[in-house]
Amino acid sequence: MGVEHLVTEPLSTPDALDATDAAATERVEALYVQHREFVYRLALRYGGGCHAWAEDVTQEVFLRLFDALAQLEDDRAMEPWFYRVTTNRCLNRLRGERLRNSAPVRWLLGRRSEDGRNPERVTAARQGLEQAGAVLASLPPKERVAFSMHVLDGKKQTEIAEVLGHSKGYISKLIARAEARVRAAGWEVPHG
Amino acid sequence: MDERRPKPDLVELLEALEQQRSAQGMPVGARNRVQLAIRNHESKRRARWRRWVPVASFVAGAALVLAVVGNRWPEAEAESEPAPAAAPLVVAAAPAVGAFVVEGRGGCVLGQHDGASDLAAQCSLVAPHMSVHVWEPATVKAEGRNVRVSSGKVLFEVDEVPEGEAPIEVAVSHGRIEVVGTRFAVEQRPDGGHVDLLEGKIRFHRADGSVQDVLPGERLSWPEPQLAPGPEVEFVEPDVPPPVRKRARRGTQKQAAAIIERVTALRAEKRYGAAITEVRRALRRPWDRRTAQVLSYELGELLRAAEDTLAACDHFAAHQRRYPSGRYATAVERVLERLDCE
Repeated sequence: MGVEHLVTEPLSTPDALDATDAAATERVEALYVQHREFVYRLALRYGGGCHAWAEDVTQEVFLRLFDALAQLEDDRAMEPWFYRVTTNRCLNRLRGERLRNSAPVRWLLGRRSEDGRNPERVTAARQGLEQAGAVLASLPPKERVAFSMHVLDGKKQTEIAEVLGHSKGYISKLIARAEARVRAAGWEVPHG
Repeated sequence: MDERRPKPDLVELLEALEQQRSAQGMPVGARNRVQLAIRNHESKRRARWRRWVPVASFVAGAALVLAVVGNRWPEAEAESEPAPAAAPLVVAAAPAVGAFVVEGRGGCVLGQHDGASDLAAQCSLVAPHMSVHVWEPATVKAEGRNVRVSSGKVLFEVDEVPEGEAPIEVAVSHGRIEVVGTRFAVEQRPDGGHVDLLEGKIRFHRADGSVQDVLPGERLSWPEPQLAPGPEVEFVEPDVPPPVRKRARRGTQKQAAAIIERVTALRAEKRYGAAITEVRRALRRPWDRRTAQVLSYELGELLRAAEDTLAACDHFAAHQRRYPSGRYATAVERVLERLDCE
């Protein structure tokens, strides 16, 4: 009995579950196979390239899918749903981390600053491309997400506003602030 | 920054970074872990719900009895006759083995004796902290939150035990397996057995008191090959208590990051020997699987940079065995090819 064999062996058969639950699990698994790379890539972007972070977000998104299945009818047009849920999940996590790492909370909890360093990030930061990723990661959460959606996903400000639940004016401000920070750090951002 | 040099275009680099990450894709280990979480999600949710089924049934039954007795009370008083005894309640509950809910097709529990249950293949025992999947007919006994496997082949999936809580234990014929949060398979035969660790870390406590750590991808069998029996020695109760084993604390990500930074500085100065010593020392400590993998890969890279090809080959081969589908699997494979390792 080899280890590889153990990993690939099915853990439970669908017919061992109730019919409805089995159908739900089957549907989520099918959507997982179809969209996992998309969700993971988005999460990896906002998590600054941290694989553990991206894995956690991916898992949360697909477990959240169980609750939303009833409202989702067309499995062929799920990408916008995954985009919206993943982006918001990432944003919530980033804001939570930022809050936990804020000076008053650290003082209250008697914790030292977590500067977000982890061995993976430190080894990765040696590469040139990762320096660009580090600049993105240095932006405040909302600015980071709005800026990425705008310049990397080509979303319009109205679309970003819809996904994040803010006004178009606020999104415009977030993007402008992010661009100013990036330029101040010595990088160029194309106008438009 | 030099004013004459053009500023780098952030968007261009970010797009290249995205492309690079897309090409790498989701690591196989992560893919499997998330898939497993999806599969277990529904059964765990149901298990949590089913914990309340006996309580809800009891409350409903009690309410029914009170309603019946309450309705009949005035009649009983008027007729001065004793009220008829309420019919015995039948409480329908999901089949259970100790604190575990049995899941699977009907007829999962083949028999019960001495508190142990004979379970059919393809059935599962589910509790909020652990799932036990039966691969081949097995005899299993729930002992509180722990489990004893007397025979058969089962897969355990144990949630991470919060700090401060006692670890989960799985008892087998020749010892017990201490689990902190992991996935492993146990096969117990009449004459012995083995455990295959898929993820996480477990510690095997033999019946003779010795302890052995098992790492992912490793198999530990029992009983070990028997040594020739030594002369019989009369057992004397020691006067001093046995020394308490001090368990090394698991390193944090911050500590690992600091180590990598120091190693990077040493590497920049081409002080490979010092860097290798630093990483080797770090690897003696326990780390979470992901950090251990990063440090192990770093050590291989350092050995390669130090042009110690033989040691690098040995190390990368060991890394490949330990983390067959780890995040550096492709990189390690390439290095082994490039170094022309046997």
